[in-house]
Amino acid sequence: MTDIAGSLLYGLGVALAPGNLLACFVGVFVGTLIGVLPGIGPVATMSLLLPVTYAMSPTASVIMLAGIYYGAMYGGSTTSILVNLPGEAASVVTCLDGYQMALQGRAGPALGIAAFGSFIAGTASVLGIMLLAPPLTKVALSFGPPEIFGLLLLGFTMVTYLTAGSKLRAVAMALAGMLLGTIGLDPITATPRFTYGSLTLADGVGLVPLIMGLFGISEVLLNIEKGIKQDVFITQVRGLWPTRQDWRRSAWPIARGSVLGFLLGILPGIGSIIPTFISYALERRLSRHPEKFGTGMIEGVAGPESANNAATGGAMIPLLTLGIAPNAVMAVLLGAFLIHGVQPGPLMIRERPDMFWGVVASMYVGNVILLVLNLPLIGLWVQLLRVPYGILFPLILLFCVIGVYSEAGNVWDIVVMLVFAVLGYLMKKFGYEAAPLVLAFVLGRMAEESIRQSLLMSRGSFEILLTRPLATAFIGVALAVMVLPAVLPSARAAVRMVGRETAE
Amino acid sequence: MLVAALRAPADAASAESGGAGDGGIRWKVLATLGVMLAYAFVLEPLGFVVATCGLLYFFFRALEGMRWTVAVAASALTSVVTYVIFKVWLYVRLPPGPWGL
Repeated sequence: MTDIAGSLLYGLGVALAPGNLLACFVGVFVGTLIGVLPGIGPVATMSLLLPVTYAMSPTASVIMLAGIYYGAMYGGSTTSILVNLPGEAASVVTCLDGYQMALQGRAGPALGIAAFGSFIAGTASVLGIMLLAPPLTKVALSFGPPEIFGLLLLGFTMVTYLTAGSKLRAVAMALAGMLLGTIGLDPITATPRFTYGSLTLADGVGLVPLIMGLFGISEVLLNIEKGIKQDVFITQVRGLWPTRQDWRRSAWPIARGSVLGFLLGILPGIGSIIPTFISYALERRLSRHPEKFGTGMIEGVAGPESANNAATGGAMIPLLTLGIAPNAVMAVLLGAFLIHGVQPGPLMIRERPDMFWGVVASMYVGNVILLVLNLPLIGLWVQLLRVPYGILFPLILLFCVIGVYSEAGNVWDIVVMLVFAVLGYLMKKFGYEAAPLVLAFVLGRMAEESIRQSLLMSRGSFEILLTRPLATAFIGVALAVMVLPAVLPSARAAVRMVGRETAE
Repeated sequence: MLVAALRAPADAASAESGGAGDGGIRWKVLATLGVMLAYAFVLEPLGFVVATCGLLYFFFRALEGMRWTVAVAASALTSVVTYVIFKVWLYVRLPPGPWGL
C-alpha cells in the first residue's frame, strides 16, 4: 500500500511538471471541445493530433492524448442534455433522460450530476488502475505469444458478440478488418502482400487514414446530406449544483456505473459505449419506478455518464500491462507510444516508471481540471453549439486532411482516407458498424504475429495452444462466449437483453 | 459503379424517410468527395496555402452559398491561420508550394 502511495506521489511529481501539466490541460480542453461538437469524436481527434506530438516528450504526448479521450466523455454529455444529439457515441443514452430533464428546466442539475458522476467514476477508475495494474504486470510477464493469441481471440469474440446491431454484420466487419490488416509486409518474412507494387500499401493501410475516413469524414458526409439542424436549448442554464435529493438518488447509480464501467472497460472489444447501455438497463431494472425512465430520471444520467468515464480507465489496463489495445481509441494511443519508441507492456512499469506513473497520475489531475473547468465553462460550450455546421464541417474536413498528410507526408494517404470515407458512409447507411472493423484491423495484425510466433516456438504444432493453461483458458472463454448463448436459454436472454438495450 | 452505389443507399434512405432526400443534397456529398480527391493531387504542386484556399472557397461558396467576396476572404484567412497554427506553431509537416507557402 505504501508502495502505491509512493508511486502515486512520484507520478504526481511527473504529471505536475509544467510541460506535462500543460499537455494535460490542452488534452482535456480539446477533448471536451470535440466531445461537445457532434460529428467529431476522440478517435479522429487523437489521430489528427498524433503528428503534433512528435515534437513533445513521450510522456507529455500520451498524457495529452489520454486527456482527449476522457475529456470527450465529459463533453459528450453536454450536447446530449442540451440538444438531444449525442456529442459523442458514448453519450447516446444520456439523451434519453438528460434531454427530458432539460425540457423540465432541470438542465443545470443534469449537467452537474453528469460532471460530478464523471469525476467520481474517473477518479475511482484511476484508483483501480493503480491497484490492479502492478499485480497484473507480474502475471503479464509470464505471457508468451500463445497467451497473447488466446487473449486476442477473446477480444475478437467480444467485439462481435456484444455488438449493438446484427451479429452477422459485426462478424463480417471484423473479418473485413482482419483482411485489411494483412495488406503490407508479412510480419515474419517481410514478403509484400496485396500491395500491387504500391509503396503506400507496402507499409500496410495506415491506421490514421482508416480511422479518419471511417469515423471523421464519413460522419461529415452524412451530416452534409442530412442538413443537420441545431436546436440548442435556449433557456438559461443555471443552478448546476444538484439538490440533496438528486444526490441521494444518484449516489448508487454513480457507484454501480463506476464499477461496471471499469470492469467492462478492461475486457478487450467492449469500448466505452456498451457499458453505458448496460448501466442504463441496470438502473431501470433496479429502480422502483422503471416506467418513469425516459421522462427525466436523474439516475438515467448519473449511471451511464459514470460508466463511460470509468471505462476509459479500465481500457488503460490491457494497454499498460500487456501492450494490447482493447478498443479503437487505445489503438491510437498504442500508436503514440510506439512512435515515441516506448513499447507498452509488462516491462514498461519497470523500464519507464516515469511514464507509467506519470500517465496514471495525470488522469487524476485531468479529472480535477475537467471538473473545475467544466462547471464554469458550460456557457461557452453552449455558445459553441451555435456555430453553424456550414462553417464547422469544412474545418473538420481540413483538419482530417492535415492530420493524415502530416503523418508521413504522403498525399496517397489522403486518397486512402477518401476510400475509407466512402466505405464508412455506405456502412453507416446500411447499418454496419465501423468499430469491429477498426478493432479487428488492429488486433488482426497482432493476432497473426502471435500465432505465427507460437507456431515457430512449437515447430508448427497447434498443440502449444492447448498445453499452456492460460492460453487454453482464454480460448475456452472465447468459445464459451460464442457457444453458450446458443445452448443455455438464460445466457441467450442475457445477450439478447444487452443487444436490445444497445439497439434502442 | 461508385456513383450507382452512392445513389442506391441514398434512395433507400430517402424512401424510408418519406422521400425527404433529393438529388441536390446527394450531389453535395459527391462534390465534396470529388473536390477533396482533386485537392490531394494539387496539394503538393500548388502548396498548402493555395490549395487549401481553393478547397475552402469551394466549400463556402458552392455548398454554403456565401457571397463570393465573403467566401474568398474567409477561405484565405482560414488557410493562412491553419498554416500558421500547424506549420509555424506546432511544426506539422505541410507541403511547401512553388512560392514557399
